[in-house]
Amino acid sequence: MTAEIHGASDADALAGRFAQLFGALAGNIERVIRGKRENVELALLCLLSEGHLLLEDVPGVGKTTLARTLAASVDARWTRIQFTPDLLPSDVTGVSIFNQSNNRFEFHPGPIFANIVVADEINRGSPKTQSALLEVMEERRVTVDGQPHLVPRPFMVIATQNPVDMDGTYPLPEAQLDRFLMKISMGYPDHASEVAVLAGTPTGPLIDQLPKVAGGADIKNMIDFAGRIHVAPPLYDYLVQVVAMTRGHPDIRLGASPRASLALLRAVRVRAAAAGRSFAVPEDVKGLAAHVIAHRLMLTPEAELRGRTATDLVAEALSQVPVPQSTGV
Amino acid sequence: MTTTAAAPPEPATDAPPAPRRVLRVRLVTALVIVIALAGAGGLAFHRVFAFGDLVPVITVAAVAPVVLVALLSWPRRRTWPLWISVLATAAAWTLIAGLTLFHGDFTVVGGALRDSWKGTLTSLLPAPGRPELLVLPHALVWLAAFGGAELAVRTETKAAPALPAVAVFCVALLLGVNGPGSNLPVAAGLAGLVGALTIVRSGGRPLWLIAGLPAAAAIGLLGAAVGPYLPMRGEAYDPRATVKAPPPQQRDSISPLDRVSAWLQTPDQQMFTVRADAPEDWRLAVLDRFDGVTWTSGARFVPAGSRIPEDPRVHRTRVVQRFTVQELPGVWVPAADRPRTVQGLAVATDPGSGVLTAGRPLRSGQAYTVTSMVPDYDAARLADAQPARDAEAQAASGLPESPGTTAKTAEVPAFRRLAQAITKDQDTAFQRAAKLADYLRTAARYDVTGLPGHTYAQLRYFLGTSKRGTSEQFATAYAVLARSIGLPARVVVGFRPGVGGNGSWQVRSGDVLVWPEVAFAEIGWVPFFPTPEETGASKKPDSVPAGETQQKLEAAQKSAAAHKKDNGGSGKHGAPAPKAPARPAHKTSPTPPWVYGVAAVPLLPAAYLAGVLIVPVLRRRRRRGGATPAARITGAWEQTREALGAVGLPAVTALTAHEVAGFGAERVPGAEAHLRPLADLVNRSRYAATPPGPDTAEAAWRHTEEIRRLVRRTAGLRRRLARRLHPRSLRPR
Repeated sequence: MTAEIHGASDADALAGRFAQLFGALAGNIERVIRGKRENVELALLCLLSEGHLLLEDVPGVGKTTLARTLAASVDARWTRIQFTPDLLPSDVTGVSIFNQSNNRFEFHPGPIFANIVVADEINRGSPKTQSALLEVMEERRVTVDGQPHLVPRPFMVIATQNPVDMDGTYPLPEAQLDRFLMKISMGYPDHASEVAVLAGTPTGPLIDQLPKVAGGADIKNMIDFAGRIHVAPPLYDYLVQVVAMTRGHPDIRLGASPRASLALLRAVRVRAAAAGRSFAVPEDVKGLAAHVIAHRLMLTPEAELRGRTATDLVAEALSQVPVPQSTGV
Repeated sequence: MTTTAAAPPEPATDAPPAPRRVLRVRLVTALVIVIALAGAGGLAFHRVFAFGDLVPVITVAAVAPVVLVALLSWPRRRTWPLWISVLATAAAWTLIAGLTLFHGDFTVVGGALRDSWKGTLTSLLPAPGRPELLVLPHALVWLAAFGGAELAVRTETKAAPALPAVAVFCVALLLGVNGPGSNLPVAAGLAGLVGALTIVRSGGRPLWLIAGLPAAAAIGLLGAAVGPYLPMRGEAYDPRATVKAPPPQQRDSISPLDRVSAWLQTPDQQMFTVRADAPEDWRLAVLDRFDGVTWTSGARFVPAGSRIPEDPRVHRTRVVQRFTVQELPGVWVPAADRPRTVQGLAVATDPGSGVLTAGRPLRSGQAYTVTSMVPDYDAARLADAQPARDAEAQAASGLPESPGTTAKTAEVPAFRRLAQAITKDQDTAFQRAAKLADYLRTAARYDVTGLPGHTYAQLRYFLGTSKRGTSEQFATAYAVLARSIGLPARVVVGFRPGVGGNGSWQVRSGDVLVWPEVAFAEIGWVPFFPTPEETGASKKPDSVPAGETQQKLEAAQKSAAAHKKDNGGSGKHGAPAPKAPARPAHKTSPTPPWVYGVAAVPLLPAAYLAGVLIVPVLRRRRRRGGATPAARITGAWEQTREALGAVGLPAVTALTAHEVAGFGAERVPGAEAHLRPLADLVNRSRYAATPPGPDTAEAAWRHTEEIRRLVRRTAGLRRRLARRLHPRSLRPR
């Protein structure tokens, strides 16, 4: 942001503070997750968009560590659920147990009742257990014995899955994939980052020793502020055009849903605030579209045979939709 | 223009403010150019007024108000309020116009200004240089100079001070349609001055001035050189066509035709002398209205300056004549047909007939010079000529009953029968007209003692009984006979060339001659000479019997009549000849299409070149002058994208501002420092909740200018030139 931009308002100042805190959080996580600044920022965007993150990659690249580090950087309650085929829904949501002293059933919350829930190897859980997450991920509440129980705010599920070892796994259904704001891959670190990781062991900062950069209240304030980021009318139009391009594409069997549009809009607002702006720009849409939309698309078998990917198709849509040229004010 | 006191303008540039001395020099230069502009705008009136009459008036009107404005604003740091300046210039104009044009009679200034429009529009061009007409260009040029000077002093606009002068030029252009000369040089000068003013007012560097002033002059010269060759179609709008012409006026209490008999009775009265290139018949009056008793003129005389409109229908030979009036009475001014310029005498003229009249009766010793374009007649054209059917000819076709009679007169059918009998063997209209003249020359005799007059009864007596008369009877009898068989005819009163030689002739009253003229389509009025050779006392041995034109015409008429007979014409009596009149190709044939094709060969590339050079400049100007800061920022961004096209930026609309900036940063060294901030400004102006301010727009354009400079350096001259000359540059990216 340059000094010559006149007309900067209070919202710009608040956006500046947002960006400052966002940068501090990202920097804190980067102390553990080296060389993955983009993934770190995307994870934070998910948290501040009140979305959920699906980390998919091979074992050992830091998926769980990222989830744990993110949780550790925020002064909030976090839990971890290791998904296995015999994991029951009640193991996730909690159970009602009869209390003989007062002759009443009392609800004992499961690990899902936390601000950040790390669902490790989610695709190893049975479909029944996976579906137990559907309600809480979308509605942020759990219904046990007909009684609804709200989860705390902020609430974020960071799920990991391994795409290689698929034996004995249960691929996530489309309905559940659609509930994840983003799906990202960690990827291998570059040479320098990996060297830095090795050099920092065992004296490098441990996750448990990371400082808490932001409290739960701070995160809630940031979420509220991001919701007030200005989006010009032409940008809504642009965003919808990008999403709509995936629905009529011949290589796509199932396009992005309106939930995808809403999710993208939320993420765009947070990205704008994280950049210190009080308004969103097309660069925000372009920067997030692939991460938010791609995992919701189902390609035709022919397209898959040709080696096309959902990310390619989203990029194609972005290259075809004109950026709005006139002011929306 | 502001109406309140304002500080002298300072040019708005990115550079630091220029020193006050530089600003003063610029302002003085601009004021001088404003004077030149107002003068140039006023010079466009040279098609309305004679140049000599116009220049002193224009000079005063262009200089005085600018000096006044400069004096009112110069000694002070703040200019006077506008209303003071307006009052001062109004008073100054009245004073100067009253003193210079009306010699101190201030009471007529207002009325003259009010009536000057109509007077100018009802005068033939060039209009006479009378004060009551010259007051119009004086006032307009004054206003233009005043308006331009005020705009120069009170505003920072670059070219606006030229607008009043351009407006005056347009007014003069309108008033001078069909006037003599061309306004192209004036337009070129005006364009050059506007360019010079813009350059001076834009506060450019001296190098700019050195390069810009010749460029402005070159643009003006190019316009002047190319303008005449542009294929223009359609008639120019002439405001005179919308002005009601003055009614026919009785110029003299005694018709010249009524004087003929008296003049012939005293043939030695010295009327005037002529020094001329060639002996001609000197026309005095044209009479085209006949009521059965008298011939009168239906001419609508309008004031004329030194020039009289040309009749474009026949070839012309130039004859210069110098007349010195002796005893010629009345207001009719003799001259050879067709007068084009008159010097030494204020005249009014009838555009239809070319007859001249003076405002007052002529005085002995009065001298004037007339330049006439004497018609040349072609036998072939005459042979094919058909009677004219235009309004003027229709007015000269009727044979009414005699005034005061209620019963049908018997003379008209008698004349018709006679005329039909005379011309029964003739095939064409022209042959019939020629045959009538032949008949009268042979059937009657010239006799100054014959019964004077030209009423129906007198003519019937002349034709049927006496068969003796003067040119008065021959000409009027011819006209009546011609009209009776449908040939539009009129009579002309004039004089034979006179006595003398070696370029000098004495014209006496005995040289008076009346002759008829018949109107033919595409040719105009053709004189016929039915009067036989003069004999008797009035004939001088050394007198020139006929003008050169008369002799040539009579030969052409004989040739035309014989030509038609040889070819065996088949037209019926009284009916138009079947063959359409041949139209000379050089006069009326439409321009062949190939001419336009040939003309387009050099013009199209020139137009293309002008387009690709000018359109981007205009586009940039439009972008720079957007109505809102947001529009100007968008304009700056479009300009930047256009500039980056020179380094390969694809013309796709799906790129965001920062993607474009990233591309430019890679291709243009040093541009990132301007591209990124500009992209931020563009995003903010388009997507932020609060609209940008003017300063932001200025900042955006500063970045754009820097980027443009860097791109020019990176792209190189050859690539930029190729891009500029590409048709793509005609449309925005």
